[in-house]
Amino acid sequence: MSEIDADAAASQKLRKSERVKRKGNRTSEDGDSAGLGKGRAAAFVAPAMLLIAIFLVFPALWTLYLGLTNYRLTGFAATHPRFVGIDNYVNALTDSRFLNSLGLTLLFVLGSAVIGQSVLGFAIAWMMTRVRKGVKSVVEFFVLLAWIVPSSVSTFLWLALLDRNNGTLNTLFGTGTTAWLLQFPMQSIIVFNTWVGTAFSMLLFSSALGAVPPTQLESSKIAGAGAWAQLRDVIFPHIRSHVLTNTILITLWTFNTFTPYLLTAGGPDHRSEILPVYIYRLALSEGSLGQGSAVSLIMILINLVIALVYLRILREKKS
Amino acid sequence: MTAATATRLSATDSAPKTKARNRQRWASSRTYISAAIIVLWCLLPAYWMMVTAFRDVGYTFDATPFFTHVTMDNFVTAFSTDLGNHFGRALLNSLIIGIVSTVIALVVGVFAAYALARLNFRGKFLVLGFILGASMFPGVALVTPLFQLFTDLSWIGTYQALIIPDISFVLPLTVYTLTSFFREMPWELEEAARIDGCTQGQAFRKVIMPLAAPAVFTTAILAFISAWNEYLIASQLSNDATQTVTVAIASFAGAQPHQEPYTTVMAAGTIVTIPLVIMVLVFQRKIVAGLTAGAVK
Repeated sequence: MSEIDADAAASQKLRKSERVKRKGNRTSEDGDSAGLGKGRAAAFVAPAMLLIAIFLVFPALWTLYLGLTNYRLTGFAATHPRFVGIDNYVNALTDSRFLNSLGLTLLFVLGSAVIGQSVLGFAIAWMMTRVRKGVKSVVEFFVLLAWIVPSSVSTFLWLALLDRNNGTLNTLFGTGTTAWLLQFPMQSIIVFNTWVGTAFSMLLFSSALGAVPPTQLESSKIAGAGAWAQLRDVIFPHIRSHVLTNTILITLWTFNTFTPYLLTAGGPDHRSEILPVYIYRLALSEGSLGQGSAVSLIMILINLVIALVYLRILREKKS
Repeated sequence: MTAATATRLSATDSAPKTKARNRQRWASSRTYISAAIIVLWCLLPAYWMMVTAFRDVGYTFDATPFFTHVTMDNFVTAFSTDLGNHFGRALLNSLIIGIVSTVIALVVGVFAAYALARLNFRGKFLVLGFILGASMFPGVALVTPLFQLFTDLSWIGTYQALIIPDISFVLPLTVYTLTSFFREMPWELEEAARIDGCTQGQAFRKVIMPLAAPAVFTTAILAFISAWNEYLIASQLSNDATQTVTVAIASFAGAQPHQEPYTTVMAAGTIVTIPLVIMVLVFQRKIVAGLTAGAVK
């Protein structure tokens, strides 16, 4: 889905050639193949654009303004927010809690998305190329299930799994009363997020691996290539763009996920307070909506930068 | 002499062959063992949920990994309103919110996607880029502005306060996926239909829609799952009357004030998860195709 640029470029090219082809016999200079007409097309697109604009883009831009005020959840500032300039932004960028949160987020994204989900997803997809179809769909089913269980249910399951007293993990491995979420908060949410999100990487890599020509695999095997050489020289060139797409998407999703809050609430002592959790606690638990909005805007900007870098890489690769 | 060489040859020949076969067998069983481990890894928490959901509350922390002390009481408790829980109500709310937002998002999305796929206009790629950019906003960043907006509109505690964000959250992906689908359909379809005497509306209704139905359906499943699972917005913008299941589960109250009502929550979680399990079972291939479609092309 984020290959919009590639898509756009490709379809533009296609359309151009089609236009040239058709110029003689029909009036498709404006590319209006269905005879919709500009007015009707605008009417078709307008409701979707309005909904997205009013309830998605406008709120995102509104955080810019809210970040400049001392808006609070309760009290006088809740009804009469005062303009405070860029104080919130300065506070955020110099606050050690923000920097700590940023570092943890980086660790979280690297550990659970770039390494955890990608590597595990690829490993499973790779394995599934060698098993019977039935086994493959059973495995797919369970991986998919972990992904679509509602977050409030799956976090509860993990709370039960990791519980200090009588938790399933402690019972199974005889690890006594290890308080996993207190002693290893980051490790816990990283493993949890890997568990939740592996499905997407696996499915994407599965369909990518299906497109690798089997003859090339055969001939590399005959030429005596080991598994690693085969992976590097035959498979990787074929799935490079998928690796890129996958990495960027799961990076964005993981960067934005709020679910770990339901496991550790950012604690203990801010040790698992990734950015979305930080914003949530700042704005909604502590009531500093203005300060929370300032951090939100910074987060949105980081999102945009990641997306732009991705589009840039994609364009360079295509040209 | 020849016979002897032959036996010797076959003897030396068969030894590496069996070895190779053994190695292959080991490799393939290793793959299956790994597959079993993956299934276990994904299943363990969900399995534990079921075991606990059906277990007598007095044996909540019993470590037996099988179904023991089986009872349906927890499901009854989950629906009881004695302790101030409104699970039944929440289930109905989630169903209403999920269905309404899916239908609206699909109707709005289909039209937008059709126009975007079939018409070249200036700024079209800006529009698509705008849509995609919007799909990347972090939900937690939008809670505060939406909270303020809906407070100003006095919408807090209404259905539309939960339905509309659900729609705007799934709309970008819906439009994007459907656009790439419509784009693949040959343009000659509408042309042929119109030559046969269809109006544009009829061509769309009678030719395009039936062909697009599978893609629309897949997108609808994904949209419904996303609305059904939404937690963050619902936790802030709902009240007791409009609370959704995901919020209800996270805030389940038990008989003891400081004791998580594990068995009851597990029972409730089982109920919430069952529709999703059924959906995945029935539509697995469609869901897989829909998830990877946009990203693979």
